[in-house]
Amino acid sequence: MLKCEEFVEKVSDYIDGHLPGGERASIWMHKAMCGHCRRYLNQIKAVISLTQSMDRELPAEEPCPEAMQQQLAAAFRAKRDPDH
Amino acid sequence: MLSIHDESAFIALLLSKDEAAFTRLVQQHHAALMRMAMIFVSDRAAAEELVQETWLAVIDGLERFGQRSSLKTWIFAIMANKAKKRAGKDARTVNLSSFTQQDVERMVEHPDADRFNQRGHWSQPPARWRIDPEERLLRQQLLEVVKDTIEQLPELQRLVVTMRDVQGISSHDTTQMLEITDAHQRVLLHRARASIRAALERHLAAE
Repeated sequence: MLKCEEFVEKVSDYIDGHLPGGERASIWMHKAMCGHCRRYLNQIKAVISLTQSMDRELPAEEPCPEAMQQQLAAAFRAKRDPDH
Repeated sequence: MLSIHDESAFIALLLSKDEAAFTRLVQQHHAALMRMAMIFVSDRAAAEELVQETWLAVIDGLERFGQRSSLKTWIFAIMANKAKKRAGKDARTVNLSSFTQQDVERMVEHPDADRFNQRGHWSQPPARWRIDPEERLLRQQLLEVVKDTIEQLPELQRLVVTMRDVQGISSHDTTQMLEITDAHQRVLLHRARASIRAALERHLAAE
């Protein structure tokens, strides 16, 4: 039977689908029997969900400065019309 | 995020030299590139230089972009390459290849390592989160905790979690860009997630 400490080590690989069948089964059995590890697993899933939505939900802090935007647009135009 | 079909159409616009499409591309990814650049280099001016060099390389290479990866992954790979090239010349840039095995081991210490007894079972189990993290007002606060925690992680953990979970770059592409093994990448990602979980636990306990 997997120890809690081993379960915790494998949680991300389990969520990301990186565990082979046998190890997946031992995770599945352990989580069926251990409420603390089930809670840990659900909390890591919540962490992933929050982290994935960070860019969408937090206001963008670094809009491209106007001067850089203009330089880049000029470089893009120069590439488009190399003779001008 | 653009769907595959939308992305192909968008790339076609860029290749047809549509300046509005290019401006949109810059606006869409600039903040994320700046955040990544701030991990690679130690000051804002150097980060802006790195981002600008990246965009110029994007302009230069667009016609050669083969769509084997997503546009975003390609742009991030350009930045990682630029950062690696700078590292040899510029002391402000983190030198990824200078990390020794020992550094990596130090960065992968588990934040919950002391919460187990000698038999490997929880001695200090994870605390129940009394508030639903999906609840809207709290969610904003929790996102700030996630962001602050990521900013304090060791560089490699910060790079891996930013690429994998924030930007959605695949594990294969992340491993290639950072020149680390797949096993290390997975451990670094889990350590980062575990540290964020521990920070959220402290925050929710303090509520």
